[in-house]
Amino acid sequence: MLKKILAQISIILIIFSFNSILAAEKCSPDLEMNKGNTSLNSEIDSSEKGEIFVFFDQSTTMKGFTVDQPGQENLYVNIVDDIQQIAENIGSDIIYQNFGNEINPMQDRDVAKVKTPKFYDCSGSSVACNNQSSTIQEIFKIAEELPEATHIVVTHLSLQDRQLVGSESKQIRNPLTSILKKGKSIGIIGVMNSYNGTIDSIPQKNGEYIKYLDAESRPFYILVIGNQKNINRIKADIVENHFSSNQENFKYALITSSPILQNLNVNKLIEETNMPAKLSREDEFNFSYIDDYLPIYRFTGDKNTELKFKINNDDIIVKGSTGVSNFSITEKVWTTNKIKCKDIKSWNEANFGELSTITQNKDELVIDLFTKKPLKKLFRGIRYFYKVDVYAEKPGDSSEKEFSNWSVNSSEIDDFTQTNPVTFKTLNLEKFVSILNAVSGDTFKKTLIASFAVNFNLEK
Amino acid sequence: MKNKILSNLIKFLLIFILCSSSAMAHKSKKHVPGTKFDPVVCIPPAERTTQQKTSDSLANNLFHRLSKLQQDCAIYKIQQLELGISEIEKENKEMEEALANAALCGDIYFNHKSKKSTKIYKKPDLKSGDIANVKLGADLLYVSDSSKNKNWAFVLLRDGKKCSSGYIEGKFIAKKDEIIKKAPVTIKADLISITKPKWNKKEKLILVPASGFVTIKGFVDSDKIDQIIVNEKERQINNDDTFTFNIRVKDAGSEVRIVGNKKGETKKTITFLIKVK
Repeated sequence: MLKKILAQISIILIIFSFNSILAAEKCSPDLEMNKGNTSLNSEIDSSEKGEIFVFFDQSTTMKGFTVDQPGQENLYVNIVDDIQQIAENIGSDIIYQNFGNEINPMQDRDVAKVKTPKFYDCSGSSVACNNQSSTIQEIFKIAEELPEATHIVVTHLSLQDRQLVGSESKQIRNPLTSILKKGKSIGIIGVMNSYNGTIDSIPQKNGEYIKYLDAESRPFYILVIGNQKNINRIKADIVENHFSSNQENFKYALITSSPILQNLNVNKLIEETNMPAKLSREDEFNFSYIDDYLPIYRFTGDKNTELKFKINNDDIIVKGSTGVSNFSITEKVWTTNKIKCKDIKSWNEANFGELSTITQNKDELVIDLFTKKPLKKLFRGIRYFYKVDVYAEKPGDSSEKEFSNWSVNSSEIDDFTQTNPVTFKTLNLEKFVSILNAVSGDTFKKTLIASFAVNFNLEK
Repeated sequence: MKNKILSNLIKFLLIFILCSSSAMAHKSKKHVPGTKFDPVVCIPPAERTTQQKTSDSLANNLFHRLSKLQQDCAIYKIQQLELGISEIEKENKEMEEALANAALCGDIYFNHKSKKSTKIYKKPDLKSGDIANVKLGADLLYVSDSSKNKNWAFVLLRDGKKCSSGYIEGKFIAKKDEIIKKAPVTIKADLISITKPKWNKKEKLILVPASGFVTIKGFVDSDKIDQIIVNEKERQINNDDTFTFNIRVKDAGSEVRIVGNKKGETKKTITFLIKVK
């Protein structure tokens, strides 16, 4: 028994001594670790409940959401109820306002009326009421002034051309840029709902405006400006309560300055499985981290060794966000004429130009190593150390695509109205989302999302 | 032969004269206007002589007809009645014109126009009877949708000087461009004026129904103010001299300080409280 224990201890000691020999080896070049921004997507996550400002669009056209339409599901009333309840749960202080041409504070008894048609009856002169529109830009200004609060806006989100160009456009862009720069995000929740009312201010080609009365369904939107945690909670609650089985009438997009979830190296999320399974069966295969940061795949390969490094999109991209439309890689190669690590005294930095390509599909990001300069063109009898840094270059526009089929441009809405649509689309929704994406792009910074290296020698 | 020709000529002339239907009456200034007759003179029965009364009696009892004097008086009465009707008609026309030019259409911005030639109706129903024709592009003032039929709207129609109210099918209404409401020039005496919400104490206190954000609207006398600073933050003065800003009203109330400058020099300062009622 004692002999057995001694034998085990001696084996462990041998292994430890072997590892220490490895550590002493010059098996990798001297590396300057570029760890990028290690605190990605780290919004100030205070456990304290903050203020919640809730804005209900009181323009007369919103009335149609409160009046039932036979054969159509009316979710507006229930979702307004939910929003009030969620706000009470996530906020310490809930402040309700209505808005149209102007913003006005609401008494508690008025909050309950939001679900009734009476709330949307205009008490002003006919001219004043007729010109009632939603000055959403004013709410963005408020959100800019109070970035720590969460702002929830319930609106039809139909915007006229003039609101999206020139100085009026700046009134949307500037506060949003400021909001995103402060690390906050904007969630857009779209709900296709029954509609029984008047859609007004529909621009025609001749410059006039008409009304449309025959819509039976129309989307309304909940904009949430604040931290991602609250945005996700509101979205999750609405999905759970109303769209758990079918999300056909539900759309969601998250606009954030950083659609990148994390740097995979910081959390050591890169594993053997990021490379093809066959690689682990190559001679002398070893997978380890240097400095607890850089993963290295060490092996002896040949010209047919397949080297495809794959990352799941879900591991790097914030779900529901605009995503990333453009990735890039930086490559560095070192070589040494000593095959065995114990013989290596130094590494020489080599210039091979571009070696690999990066592509993204629906599910994965794929770095195809040595596609531009295949392994068969590399010299045998040399050890190579090839390090790749993967960067997100530019945010995507997935949210524009998400909402595109609920949107109609001002140039198309005249013809669209002529078709007597039963489901009415939102004027300039896609343009509005593209403005949000552009703002997000302006505030986006090139972000390192992963680094890895391959250390190999080639056999014939 | 000569006599025969002469007698035929005379016969032809006689036939021509007898066949002619036109009277050869002469024109006179004494005639009733629009007629070729002298005015009828009516001698009331009380003023008739014994001989005239006997003549009346004879015509009535023996021939069962009106006498010449009685006929004259009857015609006179008819003429007077006709005159009265034309006067009433004239008065009606004047009243209609007066109503058509009433203040209703005087100074209202007609925010809509018709998309097609159509009519306005008494009720939101094509069978209810039309009130007026609506030409393509005619000015309309949209008042409200019909509560009974959402496809119809109640409007005022302006056509020249006339203004008619009635129902029109919603599909024929087109909205004109956005209306820019100009600052009321008449009350521009103040360098800085707040128009909304209303003052509870002018330039001292505004009360709002609840805490939260509220939009403050106002305007400046642009001849004397070219810059507005609200709570140390510059606000835009619009082309129509108006300005708008949002203020958060806390439960304890909020103080607002508006400074109006001209070329960098302070011309007016207002400091007031907004409180929750």
